[in-house]
Amino acid sequence: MKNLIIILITACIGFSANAQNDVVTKLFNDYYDDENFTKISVSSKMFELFTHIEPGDEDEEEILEAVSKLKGLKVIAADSVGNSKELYTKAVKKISGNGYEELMEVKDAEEDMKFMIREKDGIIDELVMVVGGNKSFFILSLYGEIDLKKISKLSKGMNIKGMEHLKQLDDNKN
Amino acid sequence: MKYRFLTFFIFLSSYCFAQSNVVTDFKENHETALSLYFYPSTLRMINIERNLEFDEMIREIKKARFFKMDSGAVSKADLSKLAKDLTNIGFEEVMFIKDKDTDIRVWGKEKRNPELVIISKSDEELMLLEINGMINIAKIPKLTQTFNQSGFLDVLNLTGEKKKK
Repeated sequence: MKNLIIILITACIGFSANAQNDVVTKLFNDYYDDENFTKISVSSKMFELFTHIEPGDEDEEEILEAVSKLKGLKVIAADSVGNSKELYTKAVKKISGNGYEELMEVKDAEEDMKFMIREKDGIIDELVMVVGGNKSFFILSLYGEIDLKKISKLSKGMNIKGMEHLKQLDDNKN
Repeated sequence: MKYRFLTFFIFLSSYCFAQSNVVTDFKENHETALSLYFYPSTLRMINIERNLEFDEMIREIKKARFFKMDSGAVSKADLSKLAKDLTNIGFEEVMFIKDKDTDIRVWGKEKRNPELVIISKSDEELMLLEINGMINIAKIPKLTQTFNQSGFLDVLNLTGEKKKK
Protein backbone atom coordinates (compact mmCIF):
# COMPACT_ATOMS: atom_id res chain seq x y z
CA MET A 1 0.00 0.00 0.00
CA LYS A 2 2.80 2.39 1.00
CA ASN A 3 4.61 1.62 -2.26
CA LEU A 4 1.46 2.26 -4.26
CA ILE A 5 1.06 5.71 -2.64
CA ILE A 6 4.71 6.54 -3.41
CA ILE A 7 4.24 5.47 -7.04
CA LEU A 8 1.07 7.57 -7.33
CA ILE A 9 2.77 10.65 -5.81
CA THR A 10 5.76 10.22 -8.13
CA ALA A 11 3.43 9.83 -11.12
CA CYS A 12 1.55 13.02 -10.12
CA ILE A 13 4.81 14.98 -9.76
CA GLY A 14 5.95 13.69 -13.12
CA PHE A 15 2.63 14.58 -14.70
CA SER A 16 2.58 18.15 -13.32
CA ALA A 17 6.19 18.71 -14.39
CA ASN A 18 5.39 17.53 -17.90
CA ALA A 19 2.12 19.45 -18.12
CA GLN A 20 4.00 22.72 -17.78
CA ASN A 21 5.52 22.54 -21.22
CA ASP A 22 2.88 20.37 -22.85
CA VAL A 23 1.49 22.75 -25.47
CA VAL A 24 4.82 23.87 -26.84
CA THR A 25 6.18 20.31 -26.70
CA LYS A 26 3.16 19.18 -28.71
CA LEU A 27 3.70 21.95 -31.28
CA PHE A 28 7.40 21.05 -31.31
CA ASN A 29 6.58 17.41 -32.02
CA ASP A 30 4.06 18.42 -34.72
CA TYR A 31 6.76 20.28 -36.64
CA TYR A 32 9.65 17.93 -35.77
CA ASP A 33 9.78 16.15 -39.12
CA ASP A 34 8.84 19.18 -41.22
CA GLU A 35 11.96 20.35 -43.05
CA ASN A 36 10.62 23.90 -43.38
CA PHE A 37 11.10 24.41 -39.66
CA THR A 38 14.24 24.75 -37.61
CA LYS A 39 13.94 23.10 -34.23
CA ILE A 40 16.14 23.92 -31.24
CA SER A 41 15.97 22.23 -27.87
CA VAL A 42 18.19 22.95 -24.89
CA SER A 43 17.96 20.85 -21.74
CA SER A 44 18.45 21.91 -18.12
CA LYS A 45 21.76 20.06 -18.08
CA MET A 46 23.17 22.51 -20.63
CA PHE A 47 22.23 25.42 -18.40
CA GLU A 48 23.77 23.62 -15.42
CA LEU A 49 27.06 23.39 -17.30
CA PHE A 50 27.19 27.19 -17.51
CA THR A 51 27.22 27.45 -13.70
CA HIS A 52 30.88 26.42 -13.83
CA ILE A 53 31.82 29.77 -15.38
CA GLU A 54 33.29 32.42 -13.11
CA PRO A 55 31.63 35.78 -13.83
CA GLY A 56 34.01 38.63 -14.63
CA ASP A 57 31.71 41.54 -13.80
CA GLU A 58 28.18 42.37 -12.58
CA ASP A 59 26.62 42.11 -16.07
CA GLU A 60 28.06 38.64 -16.55
CA GLU A 61 26.99 37.61 -13.06
CA GLU A 62 23.41 38.64 -13.90
CA ILE A 63 23.41 36.72 -17.20
CA LEU A 64 24.89 33.59 -15.64
CA GLU A 65 22.54 33.76 -12.65
CA ALA A 66 19.51 34.03 -14.95
CA VAL A 67 20.81 31.15 -17.09
CA SER A 68 21.41 28.92 -14.07
CA LYS A 69 17.70 29.14 -13.14
CA LEU A 70 16.49 27.93 -16.51
CA LYS A 71 15.25 24.40 -17.01
CA GLY A 72 14.94 24.36 -20.76
CA LEU A 73 14.42 26.14 -24.02
CA LYS A 74 12.57 25.15 -27.15
CA VAL A 75 12.44 27.01 -30.45
CA ILE A 76 10.51 26.36 -33.64
CA ALA A 77 11.39 28.71 -36.48
CA ALA A 78 10.67 29.04 -40.18
CA ASP A 79 11.56 31.90 -42.48
CA SER A 80 9.79 30.98 -45.69
CA VAL A 81 6.38 29.48 -45.03
CA GLY A 82 3.40 30.67 -47.03
CA ASN A 83 0.82 30.32 -44.26
CA SER A 84 2.79 32.02 -41.48
CA LYS A 85 -0.11 34.24 -40.32
CA GLU A 86 -2.39 31.22 -40.09
CA LEU A 87 0.24 29.27 -38.13
CA TYR A 88 0.65 32.27 -35.81
CA THR A 89 -3.10 32.54 -35.12
CA LYS A 90 -3.43 28.79 -34.53
CA ALA A 91 -0.42 28.66 -32.19
CA VAL A 92 -1.58 31.67 -30.15
CA LYS A 93 -5.05 30.14 -29.82
CA LYS A 94 -3.63 26.79 -28.70
CA ILE A 95 -1.26 28.33 -26.17
CA SER A 96 -3.69 30.85 -24.65
CA GLY A 97 -6.30 28.11 -24.37
CA ASN A 98 -3.96 26.22 -22.07
CA GLY A 99 -3.82 28.63 -19.17
CA TYR A 100 -1.11 30.99 -20.40
CA GLU A 101 -1.62 34.69 -19.69
CA GLU A 102 -0.88 37.34 -22.24
CA LEU A 103 2.02 39.56 -21.24
CA MET A 104 2.58 41.76 -24.25
CA GLU A 105 1.56 42.08 -27.88
CA VAL A 106 3.46 43.97 -30.58
CA LYS A 107 2.05 44.51 -34.05
CA ASP A 108 3.72 46.29 -36.92
CA ALA A 109 3.68 46.17 -40.71
CA GLU A 110 6.13 43.29 -40.81
CA GLU A 111 5.07 40.99 -38.00
CA ASP A 112 2.81 40.21 -35.07
CA MET A 113 4.38 39.21 -31.83
CA LYS A 114 2.84 37.88 -28.66
CA PHE A 115 4.43 37.09 -25.31
CA MET A 116 2.62 34.78 -22.93
CA ILE A 117 3.57 33.55 -19.48
CA ARG A 118 2.62 30.86 -17.06
CA GLU A 119 2.92 31.59 -13.36
CA LYS A 120 3.19 29.29 -10.38
CA ASP A 121 3.32 30.59 -6.79
CA GLY A 122 4.06 34.11 -8.03
CA ILE A 123 7.03 32.95 -10.09
CA ILE A 124 7.01 32.92 -13.88
CA ASP A 125 7.89 29.37 -14.82
CA GLU A 126 7.41 29.66 -18.56
CA LEU A 127 7.66 32.43 -21.10
CA VAL A 128 6.37 31.78 -24.59
CA MET A 129 6.96 34.10 -27.50
CA VAL A 130 5.11 33.64 -30.79
CA VAL A 131 6.02 35.66 -33.87
CA GLY A 132 4.25 35.63 -37.21
CA GLY A 133 5.68 37.63 -40.10
CA ASN A 134 4.89 37.75 -43.80
CA LYS A 135 6.59 34.44 -44.41
CA SER A 136 8.20 33.81 -41.06
CA PHE A 137 6.94 31.98 -38.02
CA PHE A 138 8.64 31.62 -34.67
CA ILE A 139 7.82 30.09 -31.30
CA LEU A 140 10.12 30.21 -28.32
CA SER A 141 9.46 28.63 -24.96
CA LEU A 142 11.75 29.37 -22.08
CA TYR A 143 11.02 27.49 -18.86
CA GLY A 144 12.42 27.39 -15.38
CA GLU A 145 12.52 30.36 -13.01
CA ILE A 146 12.20 33.45 -15.17
CA ASP A 147 13.00 36.99 -14.05
CA LEU A 148 11.63 39.41 -16.63
CA LYS A 149 14.09 42.10 -15.54
CA LYS A 150 16.95 39.93 -16.68
CA ILE A 151 15.29 38.61 -19.80
CA SER A 152 16.74 41.21 -22.12
CA LYS A 153 20.29 40.58 -21.00
CA LEU A 154 19.66 36.87 -21.17
CA SER A 155 18.40 37.10 -24.74
CA LYS A 156 21.63 38.80 -25.75
CA GLY A 157 23.64 36.14 -23.93
CA MET A 158 21.92 33.21 -25.61
CA ASN A 159 22.48 34.71 -29.06
CA ILE A 160 19.89 32.49 -30.71
CA LYS A 161 18.24 33.82 -33.86
CA GLY A 162 14.89 35.40 -33.04
CA MET A 163 15.58 35.88 -29.35
CA GLU A 164 16.33 39.54 -29.95
CA HIS A 165 12.54 39.97 -29.82
CA LEU A 166 12.72 39.45 -26.06
CA LYS A 167 14.30 42.89 -25.84
CA GLN A 168 10.82 44.25 -26.51
CA LEU A 169 9.85 43.31 -22.96
CA ASP A 170 12.51 45.57 -21.52
CA ASP A 171 11.90 48.39 -24.03
CA ASN A 172 8.18 48.43 -23.24
CA LYS A 173 8.85 48.74 -19.53
CA ASN A 174 11.10 51.77 -19.98
CA MET B 1 47.49 -3.31 -0.58
CA LYS B 2 49.61 -1.85 -3.40
CA TYR B 3 47.39 -3.71 -5.89
CA ARG B 4 44.43 -1.73 -4.59
CA PHE B 5 46.27 1.52 -5.37
CA LEU B 6 47.29 0.21 -8.77
CA THR B 7 43.73 -0.82 -9.60
CA PHE B 8 42.48 2.58 -8.40
CA PHE B 9 44.96 4.47 -10.60
CA ILE B 10 44.20 2.32 -13.62
CA PHE B 11 40.49 2.96 -13.09
CA LEU B 12 41.09 6.71 -12.62
CA SER B 13 43.23 7.08 -15.73
CA SER B 14 40.82 5.06 -17.86
CA TYR B 15 37.97 7.31 -16.62
CA CYS B 16 39.91 10.50 -17.43
CA PHE B 17 40.72 9.40 -20.96
CA ALA B 18 37.35 7.81 -21.69
CA GLN B 19 35.92 10.81 -23.57
CA SER B 20 39.07 11.30 -25.62
CA ASN B 21 39.06 7.64 -26.52
CA VAL B 22 35.49 7.70 -27.81
CA VAL B 23 36.15 10.74 -30.01
CA THR B 24 39.61 9.47 -31.01
CA ASP B 25 38.23 6.05 -31.93
CA PHE B 26 35.53 7.66 -34.04
CA LYS B 27 38.09 9.88 -35.74
CA GLU B 28 40.46 6.99 -36.40
CA ASN B 29 37.72 4.91 -37.98
CA HIS B 30 36.87 7.63 -40.50
CA GLU B 31 38.95 9.56 -42.96
CA THR B 32 39.40 13.13 -41.72
CA ALA B 33 39.59 16.04 -44.17
CA LEU B 34 40.68 18.52 -41.54
CA SER B 35 41.92 18.18 -37.97
CA LEU B 36 42.60 21.12 -35.72
CA TYR B 37 43.82 21.01 -32.15
CA PHE B 38 43.50 23.98 -29.87
CA TYR B 39 45.09 24.64 -26.52
CA PRO B 40 44.76 27.88 -24.48
CA SER B 41 47.81 29.35 -26.22
CA THR B 42 46.73 28.41 -29.77
CA LEU B 43 43.14 29.50 -29.11
CA ARG B 44 44.46 32.93 -28.22
CA MET B 45 46.50 32.95 -31.45
CA ILE B 46 43.26 32.82 -33.50
CA ASN B 47 42.42 36.15 -31.98
CA ILE B 48 44.72 38.21 -34.19
CA GLU B 49 42.78 41.38 -33.39
CA ARG B 50 43.74 40.87 -29.74
CA ASN B 51 40.14 41.21 -28.62
CA LEU B 52 39.97 40.95 -24.84
CA GLU B 53 36.36 39.72 -24.87
CA PHE B 54 37.36 36.78 -27.08
CA ASP B 55 40.21 35.88 -24.73
CA GLU B 56 37.77 36.02 -21.81
CA MET B 57 35.23 33.87 -23.65
CA ILE B 58 37.73 31.09 -24.23
CA ARG B 59 39.43 31.50 -20.84
CA GLU B 60 37.83 28.36 -19.39
CA ILE B 61 38.59 26.13 -22.38
CA LYS B 62 41.44 23.79 -21.57
CA LYS B 63 41.55 21.98 -24.88
CA ALA B 64 39.53 21.69 -28.06
CA ARG B 65 39.72 19.34 -31.03
CA PHE B 66 37.97 19.86 -34.32
CA PHE B 67 37.54 17.27 -37.06
CA LYS B 68 35.87 17.62 -40.43
CA MET B 69 34.85 14.53 -42.40
CA ASP B 70 32.91 13.65 -45.50
CA SER B 71 29.41 12.95 -44.18
CA GLY B 72 28.85 10.33 -46.86
CA ALA B 73 31.52 8.21 -45.20
CA VAL B 74 29.72 8.27 -41.85
CA SER B 75 26.69 6.03 -41.58
CA LYS B 76 23.68 6.40 -39.29
CA ALA B 77 24.90 3.32 -37.41
CA ASP B 78 28.29 5.00 -36.83
CA LEU B 79 26.58 8.04 -35.35
CA SER B 80 24.30 5.89 -33.20
CA LYS B 81 27.34 4.04 -31.90
CA LEU B 82 29.08 7.32 -31.12
CA ALA B 83 25.99 8.53 -29.22
CA LYS B 84 25.80 5.22 -27.35
CA ASP B 85 29.51 5.31 -26.48
CA LEU B 86 29.19 8.88 -25.19
CA THR B 87 26.17 7.90 -23.09
CA ASN B 88 28.10 4.96 -21.66
CA ILE B 89 30.76 7.30 -20.29
CA GLY B 90 28.28 9.66 -18.67
CA PHE B 91 27.48 12.14 -21.44
CA GLU B 92 23.93 13.24 -22.14
CA GLU B 93 22.42 15.11 -25.03
CA VAL B 94 22.03 18.69 -23.79
CA MET B 95 21.01 20.47 -26.96
CA PHE B 96 20.00 19.88 -30.54
CA ILE B 97 19.37 22.07 -33.56
CA LYS B 98 17.64 20.45 -36.49
CA ASP B 99 16.82 22.10 -39.78
CA LYS B 100 16.59 21.25 -43.45
CA ASP B 101 20.33 21.14 -44.07
CA THR B 102 21.96 20.50 -40.74
CA ASP B 103 21.53 18.38 -37.67
CA ILE B 104 23.55 19.55 -34.68
CA ARG B 105 23.73 17.53 -31.48
CA VAL B 106 25.49 18.72 -28.36
CA TRP B 107 26.54 16.22 -25.73
CA GLY B 108 27.65 17.41 -22.32
CA LYS B 109 29.15 15.98 -19.21
CA GLU B 110 29.43 17.78 -15.92
CA LYS B 111 32.61 17.32 -13.97
CA ARG B 112 34.94 19.80 -12.30
CA ASN B 113 35.81 20.73 -15.88
CA PRO B 114 32.72 20.37 -18.06
CA GLU B 115 33.13 18.58 -21.37
CA LEU B 116 31.19 19.08 -24.58
CA VAL B 117 31.08 17.09 -27.78
CA ILE B 118 29.34 18.86 -30.66
CA ILE B 119 28.38 16.89 -33.77
CA SER B 120 27.15 18.79 -36.81
CA LYS B 121 25.99 16.79 -39.81
CA SER B 122 24.93 18.15 -43.17
CA ASP B 123 24.64 16.43 -46.56
CA GLU B 124 28.24 17.36 -47.42
CA GLU B 125 30.20 17.23 -44.21
CA LEU B 126 30.31 16.06 -40.65
CA MET B 127 32.01 18.25 -38.09
CA LEU B 128 33.03 17.07 -34.69
CA LEU B 129 34.12 19.50 -32.00
CA GLU B 130 35.28 18.32 -28.63
CA ILE B 131 35.71 20.95 -25.94
CA ASN B 132 37.28 20.38 -22.57
CA GLY B 133 36.12 23.30 -20.45
CA MET B 134 33.39 25.81 -21.12
CA ILE B 135 32.72 28.74 -23.44
CA ASN B 136 31.82 31.78 -21.35
CA ILE B 137 28.42 32.66 -22.84
CA ALA B 138 28.21 35.82 -20.76
CA LYS B 139 30.90 37.25 -23.07
CA ILE B 140 28.94 36.60 -26.26
CA PRO B 141 26.90 39.88 -26.23
CA LYS B 142 30.00 42.07 -26.09
CA LEU B 143 31.82 39.81 -28.51
CA THR B 144 29.08 39.94 -31.16
CA GLN B 145 29.23 43.74 -31.00
CA THR B 146 32.94 43.59 -31.67
CA PHE B 147 32.42 41.00 -34.40
CA ASN B 148 30.38 43.56 -36.30
CA GLN B 149 32.90 46.32 -35.78
CA SER B 150 36.19 44.60 -36.51
CA GLY B 151 37.35 41.64 -38.47
CA PHE B 152 38.15 38.32 -36.90
CA LEU B 153 40.20 35.57 -38.40
CA ASP B 154 37.73 32.76 -38.88
CA VAL B 155 40.15 29.87 -38.87
CA LEU B 156 37.62 27.31 -40.02
CA ASN B 157 36.46 29.32 -43.03
CA LEU B 158 39.99 30.34 -43.85
CA THR B 159 41.21 26.78 -44.02
CA GLY B 160 38.16 25.92 -46.13
CA GLU B 161 38.95 28.76 -48.54
CA LYS B 162 42.57 27.66 -48.79
CA LYS B 163 41.50 24.17 -49.71
CA LYS B 164 39.19 25.44 -52.43
CA LYS B 165 42.02 27.49 -53.96
